[in-house]
Amino acid sequence: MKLARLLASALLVTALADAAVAKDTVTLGQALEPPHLDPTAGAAAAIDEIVYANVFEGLTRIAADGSVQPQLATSWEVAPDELAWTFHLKQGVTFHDGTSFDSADVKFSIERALAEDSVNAQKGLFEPIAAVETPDPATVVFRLKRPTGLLPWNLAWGDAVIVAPESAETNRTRPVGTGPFQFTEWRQGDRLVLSRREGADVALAQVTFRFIADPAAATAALMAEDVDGYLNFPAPEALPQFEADPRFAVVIGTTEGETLLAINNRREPLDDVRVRRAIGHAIDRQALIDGAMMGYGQPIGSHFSPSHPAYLDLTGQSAHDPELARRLLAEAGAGDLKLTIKLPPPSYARRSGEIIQAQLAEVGIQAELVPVEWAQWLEQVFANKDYDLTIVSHTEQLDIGIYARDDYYFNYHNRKFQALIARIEAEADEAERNTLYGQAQEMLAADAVNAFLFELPKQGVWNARLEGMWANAPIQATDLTGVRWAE
Amino acid sequence: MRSLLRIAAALLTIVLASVLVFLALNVLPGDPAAVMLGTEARPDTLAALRRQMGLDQPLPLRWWQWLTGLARGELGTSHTYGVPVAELVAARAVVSLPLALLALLIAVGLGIPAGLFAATRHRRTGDLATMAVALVGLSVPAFWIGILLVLLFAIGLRWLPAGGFPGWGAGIAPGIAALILPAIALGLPQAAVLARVTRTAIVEIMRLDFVRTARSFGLTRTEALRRHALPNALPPIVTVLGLQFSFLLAGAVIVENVFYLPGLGRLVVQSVGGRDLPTLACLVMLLVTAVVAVNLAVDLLLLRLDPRLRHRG
Repeated sequence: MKLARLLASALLVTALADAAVAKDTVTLGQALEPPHLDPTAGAAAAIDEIVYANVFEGLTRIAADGSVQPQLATSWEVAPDELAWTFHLKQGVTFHDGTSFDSADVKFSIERALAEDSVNAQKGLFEPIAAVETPDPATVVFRLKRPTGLLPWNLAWGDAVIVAPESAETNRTRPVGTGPFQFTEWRQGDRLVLSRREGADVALAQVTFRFIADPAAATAALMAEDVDGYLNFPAPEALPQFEADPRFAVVIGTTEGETLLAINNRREPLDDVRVRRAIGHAIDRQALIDGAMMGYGQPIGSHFSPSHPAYLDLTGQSAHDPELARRLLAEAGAGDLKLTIKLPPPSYARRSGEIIQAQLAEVGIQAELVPVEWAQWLEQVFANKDYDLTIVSHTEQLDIGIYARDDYYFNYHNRKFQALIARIEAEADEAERNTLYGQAQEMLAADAVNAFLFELPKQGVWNARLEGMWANAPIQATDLTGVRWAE
Repeated sequence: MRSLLRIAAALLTIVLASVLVFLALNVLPGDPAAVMLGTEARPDTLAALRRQMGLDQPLPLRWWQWLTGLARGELGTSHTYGVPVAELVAARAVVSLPLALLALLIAVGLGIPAGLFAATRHRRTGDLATMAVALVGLSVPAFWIGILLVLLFAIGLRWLPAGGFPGWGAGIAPGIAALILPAIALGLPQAAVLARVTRTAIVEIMRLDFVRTARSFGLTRTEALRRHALPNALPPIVTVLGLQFSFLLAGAVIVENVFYLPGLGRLVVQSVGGRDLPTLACLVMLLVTAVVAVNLAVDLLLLRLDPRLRHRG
């Protein structure tokens, strides 16, 4: 009897809570929970997916269309020798704890990222910076070691947001930024709440992120309207169900995630370009996308996002041609090839692995699938380069530069490519830079460094009345500053 | 005397487990710093983070620090979340413990009466029907029951939330409402186990001479069952209950995922994935302690229930 009464009152409370939902709060589901909330001290995309543009701001930012826009800096100019950049800062900005924002905070943030004990996962972005000068509180001058045309773009990353010396140490658990939303509550394993800062020009008063990774649970949470949407829904197989339901909008967009069958370029016989090309020709990308990704995802022929203006469609260079693949293998004397594919946990990798295994078998390559955890993948594949093949998506935006790193796990050492990337980083003119990006894509495709599979799709599902959610993900972020409920 | 021995053995088990736990966790392949920094990390950044986490110190020194910390009641700081482990684990325990208790309540409330019912109708329709239902309960995985419950009560009827936990701060009622469906999903298969164990234990005892004697003194079948068979059937039931509680505390991870509950099971999986060693060590120690404590409680209870155990050499 008591239990029945308790249950009844529980139901009443839930019902009341539902009725009380005003039109200025939103609850979003997110598959992965961030380990902490400091985007300058960790690589987890889940951190940026909560704090980027909402809690923390950088001098510049990446907008929904992928372009670089001013944020804490209102404008900037580069000196004729291209070795000094002057940024003019917005004035009257304060951090959430009331401390004011000025050039000293910029100097602090950049020097912190560059310091010897820095734990910034993208330390390389700041590497060209030789010194940060602060002629006055509203001006910052970056002195560079070499011309770096990409500087405004580098500064737009989540890893380059501006933090205050007063709060930098506690940002991991209590983030203090300059953004329109401030941190309110985080119940680890369950939810994180942000609320609108007083006077901020955004429509939403409160945003709750709930961490639900299980595909069945995510579907149930949406169907029961416990959450209003997912910027990136973890279960592609459930999308048709939402497409058929008028309560929801399903928006398939692009990400910056190049999904690769990465090849260890040092290991015999994979050091032979003919063998690598054979692997590329063995793969039927469309069958792979249909089978592993429910048909979502765009085929790619090099390491570049199709949503970027400099993108070249090079899929023809490694078109599906089992006959050619077998011939190339025979030429290289690599018939009867036995390889292993290490598969990290994400479902795109595990599902793709099974299909690729079957496709490789058709050209006579026997591939053994080895599922690994992330920690194992990072140690075995990424750090120790102990692998033949692996499937992984490289989700950082515009990250073709990783092929220029000598110590990178692809083991691709090409001086010409490295020189090309150096030219790109220095080039300030966008059109010229895009031409060079084209050459870089062609070089990777010609060398068949990896088998380039598809661009990871962004599968958005949200309440049909929710406006302003990003369709594409030019950066891993959930920018809520423009999100509102339709009347 | 026997009780004291049991308690001493339990304490020794926990101490030995602490050594094994630390060693096992620290030889686990995988670098927590690498997990944090991902695929763009430079070697010098990795080294800096390892220093910050104290991973650059030799293993024996870390073990000593961990042990002395434990003795002082300090469980350390989570690598992943950067908050005290004790805080993190306590926040999960207040979900998992009530969930396990609620599930156990459901299991006992359904399982034991069902077992008794079946035993009294041994080999008749009532028995066969009850055992058929129990077999289904045993064979159907808990997570699937969970999905069905969500479909019916959360998506269809909208009576209860599909998952999540609002926290006890939101009040007792919403907290219980969030735990009811997962507790049913967890409790039903356990109820099936209990029903079968109870039935078997009762049926066996009802065959024994002393029950027949009791009945020859004029007791009805039901009276004989209640006054003589049930007390004697309790030891196996209590033993199974103890095992079930330990399982429910740590083994609820799949159901926790279905209902996205922030419970201990998910934290275990998460900290294994992120190589969050301080949290993992604390969790494993907590579970070891819980299992040992439950076993000890069962042992002591059995000593009371079964006089024979007290007098055996």
